[in-house]
Amino acid sequence: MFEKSSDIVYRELHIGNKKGMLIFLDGLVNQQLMDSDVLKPLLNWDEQELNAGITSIKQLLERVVTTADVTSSQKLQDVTDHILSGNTVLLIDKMPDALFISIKGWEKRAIEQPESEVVVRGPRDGFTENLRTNTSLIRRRLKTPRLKMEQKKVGRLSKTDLVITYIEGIAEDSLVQEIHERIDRIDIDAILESGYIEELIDDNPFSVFPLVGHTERPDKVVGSLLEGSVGIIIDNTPFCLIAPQTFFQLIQSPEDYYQRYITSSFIRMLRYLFLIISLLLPSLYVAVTTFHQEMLPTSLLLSLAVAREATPFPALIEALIMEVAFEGLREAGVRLPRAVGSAVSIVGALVIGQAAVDAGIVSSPMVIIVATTGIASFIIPGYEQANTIRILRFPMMFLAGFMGLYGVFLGVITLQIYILRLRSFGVPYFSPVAPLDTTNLKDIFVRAPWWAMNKRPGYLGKNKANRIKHNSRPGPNQ
Amino acid sequence: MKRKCRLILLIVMIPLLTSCWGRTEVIDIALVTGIAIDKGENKNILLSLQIAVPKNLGPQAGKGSGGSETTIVVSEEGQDIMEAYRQIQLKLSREVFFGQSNVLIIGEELATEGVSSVLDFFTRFRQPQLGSTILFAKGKANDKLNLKPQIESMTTEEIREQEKRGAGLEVKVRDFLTRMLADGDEPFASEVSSEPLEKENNSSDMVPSLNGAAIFKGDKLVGWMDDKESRGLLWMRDEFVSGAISLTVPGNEGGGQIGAEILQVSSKIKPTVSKDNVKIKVDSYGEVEIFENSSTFDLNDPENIQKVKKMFEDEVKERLELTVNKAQKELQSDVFGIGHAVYRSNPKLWNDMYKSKWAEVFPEIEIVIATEIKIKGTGFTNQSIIFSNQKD
Amino acid sequence: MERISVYQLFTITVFFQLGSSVIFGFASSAGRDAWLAILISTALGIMLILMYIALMKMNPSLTVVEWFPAQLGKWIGMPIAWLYPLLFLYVAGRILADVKSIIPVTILPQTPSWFIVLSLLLVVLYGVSSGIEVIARLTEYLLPMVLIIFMIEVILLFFSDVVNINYILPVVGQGWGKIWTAVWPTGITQTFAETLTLAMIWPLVKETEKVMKVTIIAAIVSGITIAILSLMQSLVFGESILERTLFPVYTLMQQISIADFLDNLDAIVSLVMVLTAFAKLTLYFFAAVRSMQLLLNLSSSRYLILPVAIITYMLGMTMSTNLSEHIYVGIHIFPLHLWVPLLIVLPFLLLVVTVIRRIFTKVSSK
Repeated sequence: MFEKSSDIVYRELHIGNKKGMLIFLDGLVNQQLMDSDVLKPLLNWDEQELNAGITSIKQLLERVVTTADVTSSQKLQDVTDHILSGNTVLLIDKMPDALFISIKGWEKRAIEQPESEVVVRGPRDGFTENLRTNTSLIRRRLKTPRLKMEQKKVGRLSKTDLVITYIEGIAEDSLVQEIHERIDRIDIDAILESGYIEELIDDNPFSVFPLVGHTERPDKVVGSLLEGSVGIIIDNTPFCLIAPQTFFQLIQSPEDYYQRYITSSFIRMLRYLFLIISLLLPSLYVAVTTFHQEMLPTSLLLSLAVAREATPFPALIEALIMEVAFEGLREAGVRLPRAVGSAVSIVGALVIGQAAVDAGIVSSPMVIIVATTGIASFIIPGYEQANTIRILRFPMMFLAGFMGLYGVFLGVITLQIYILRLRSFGVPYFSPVAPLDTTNLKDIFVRAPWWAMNKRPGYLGKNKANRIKHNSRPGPNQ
Repeated sequence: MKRKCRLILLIVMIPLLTSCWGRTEVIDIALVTGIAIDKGENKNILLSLQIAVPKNLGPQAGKGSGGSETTIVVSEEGQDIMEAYRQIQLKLSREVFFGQSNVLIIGEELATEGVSSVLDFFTRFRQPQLGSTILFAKGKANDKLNLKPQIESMTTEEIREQEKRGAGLEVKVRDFLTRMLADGDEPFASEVSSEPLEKENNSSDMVPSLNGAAIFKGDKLVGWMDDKESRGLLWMRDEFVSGAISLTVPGNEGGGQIGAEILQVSSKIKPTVSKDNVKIKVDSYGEVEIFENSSTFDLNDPENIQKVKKMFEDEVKERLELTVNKAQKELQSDVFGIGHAVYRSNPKLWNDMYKSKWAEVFPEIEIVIATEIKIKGTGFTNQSIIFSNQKD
Repeated sequence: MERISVYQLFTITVFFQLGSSVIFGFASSAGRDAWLAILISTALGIMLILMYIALMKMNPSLTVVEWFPAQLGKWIGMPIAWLYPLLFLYVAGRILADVKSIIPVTILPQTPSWFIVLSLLLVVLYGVSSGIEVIARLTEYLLPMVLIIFMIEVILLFFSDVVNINYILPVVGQGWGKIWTAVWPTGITQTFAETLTLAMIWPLVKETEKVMKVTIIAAIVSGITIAILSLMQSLVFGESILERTLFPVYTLMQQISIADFLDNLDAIVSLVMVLTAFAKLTLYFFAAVRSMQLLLNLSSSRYLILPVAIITYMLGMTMSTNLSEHIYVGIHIFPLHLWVPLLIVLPFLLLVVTVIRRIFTKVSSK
């Protein structure tokens, strides 16, 4: 079965008077433990209890092998499965049972700071590619038996482990059930990353917006679990999925909950502003300068006219060129090796900045617009959502270029209707603003202090609604 | 779901398939910064537009290129504004854009014949704004646009800045129209004239200056007020912004001058209306601060203050009476809105009796002016050396 | 079955009532007392709304087009009921014509009107096909935004130094007669009597018993909003310009000018106007589609949406040749000849019939 597999190791050995064989995959087994906990006891045992002889493999299990996780089975299929998932299999001549010793150990990344979601204040640990490390990071934050971790295997060939985690009594049973069902429906050859699962359990496969959240931060997952969401941890990826996802989570960053609430509220409002800028600024610029010049103050319009005097392109084309150039630059910065990346950014800054203006190809106001838009899109905490907004910017620019503000207006309304139609695992995507749930607005436009947010978000489920004792506003003792 | 996606695509695609209506780039518009309208030949209208030239406005302005004028004036005649405007458009490479025009100057000749036909264009046409300033000029209006800007980059901007500072009467097209159309009120607006920068220098550059007022009856110009009278007009209308007042102390009191800055004024028109008689009492109140004193009065003495106060009251009364006389007797135009005050106080009587014949009644009514001035301060001279040996 | 919440009903109602009143102003024929005329219209309008709600309570969980067959029998009721979808279609066409008239003169002077109307109609189509729940949610947060924009603009007007208190004095200077001409029939029917259209969605509200309270509060809110806007118009323009402007709110907001920076907000205002028109159009469209669906006994409204859209489009494009004709019909002909019979007389007769029938059934059951 394992012919043409150079990484499989067959180690023959004598246990007392019986012949046995250890089979394992090189590289998936911790060699040190193999020596000290498996090989040594097995070989030494022979000398100590030579007279007794072994009658069943169970004896070995109970007495000899000094590893914690040891199971046994008689099925051939189990044997191959265990070998492939990194367990060591011990077979003994003339005995029907196979012993599976779990001394998995492979090269893995240490826990590092998550790269995609950096915070100033807050825990620095991020998920790794190892499923067990990840579950432990969550478990360490919630020391309750109500934290459930249901394991599943998905993928015909990859047989990827994934863990559905939730807090019993807080997450709605129906939601957990729904997620189980959707994952069970997946029948694909391999799962390489959380994105596979995300796409396969989506409510609306054509949605521009991500309807399942993902994060590298265990604290964010735990926060979501406490609100009644369900997490899906997948082996071999540092990204954990969170469902359901709502629109307003794109402006929530875990740091909001660690900083003082006034700061957080201010930053949140800033994010809304920049969200709008990111989506609409280039289109507003195009619309106002080509259709509604009367909207600008005279002096500003004159400065614009002066700056644009030498540029050959219409505003729409200019905006498109610059936005595309900027997006290209951004993408290049992400993909290129780090050493080259900084060179790209320098060249890019020169090209789409000073040089382009001096050459009279683009006007300097446009550079300002593109730069502001670029910065704005990085202010949105949700990386995936920021990308969505980035994409939507382009149709908006077209609408602005052809119908001015009226076009932008129609575009925004269409986008609104589109968002309102979306649901993520039954939760309306625009909750809690529409349908309105006033008690939950405390965590949407501002971040209310913890002692004021005494209810969990109702739109995610109504279980155990109170998360903090009523009247826990702090103050000096009376 | 696919159907809906197609719908979105459709909405996005439609504009792409069509041409771009109404799109005008910033560099394709001729930005009108001021409008002047005069009477042309043969009942025609002479429309002059001041247009900004962006290439001469920027930071690199004037480098190399020959002409460095920041604005140009284009004018053309036509039977009405629309025709003149079309004619002007034929001369320009860029599309005339009225949206930013803030100043409208109308020449004397046209104003005397009536401005309603001109102003009608401004209420109808999309771009010009009701909020732009309306001004009148003795003689031709278009040479005001030709004045060379001295401090700002454009003449019209200079006019606007002057007005913002409080010079002139600050009348917008909107206010002018409202007063023109309202019962018992007549329109007026600032007069703009060209003045030399240096008083005694004939070759000095001319700059626009807002002084005086053009007084209307209906939509026709009936006369002008000088600077002093127009201040009185604002005072009467309770719209006074800022200004100074000075009085000459009579010889028997020691002579000299006292100058004061006016801090605040208010005035109330109180009509007493009966079937056959209208009496108007105007209560005006002002607060001044003395800034100049070359008289012999010691202003620390309350008694002297009382005397000066009285003098100011008389002075103001005199001024207001001057204005009232001019408007009521000479021009016979109710620019104070007295008719409206009558209407407010007794709507029924107004509608029945006076509405139709106000033009005849107004010159005859009795207007009594009462003034009260409060001297708020005497500047810093209290602490001056002259009075330092006296007790405070 | 899609359901809407009480708050959503509130926002829908206010949006609906603000609708085209915001575009063309309201009761400007009352001159400087227009705001007073509006408040009177609001009070009288609430009476009408009470009548509609009484009808709804006597015909539980039935929509307006089902009241007539239910009370008058199939042979008399059905033809009368069919008048309403036609009315809805006509009004939807009128709103399109409103938009057709305002966009070219305000923000897009050279774009052909068929294109403006068509693009708006496509968005409306998308909204209606998404269902009443999505429409309701849309109004839910757009309404506070619209009200806040109006509030900010009113505040900005005060800071722009254009307000003159003398312009609204004296109150009732021309006597009550002039006010009354603004109140009847335009004032009551436009805005408030139109609320009958919403009887198409009343049965969808989750807590039906609160419909009355919410609708009346909504009428008060929209009445006050329009009255404030109208008061501002009088304060800024005085009577003479006000009576002459076609789009008073639009012209009003053009006057905002603060520190040379906040200038010319008119494009934003015209978008707000289009937004309210959009909301009202969507609701009328929905009412037309749903009433036909109910009358034809169809299980799905899917096949009705496109024909209704085409009819509305044709109506909107051909309704009036120019703006003044459009407004003349809107103020002088339309309210008296269409709205009064359909929105006041017929419901009143229905109410009388219903009450009599109730008394008879009670008597006979005894």
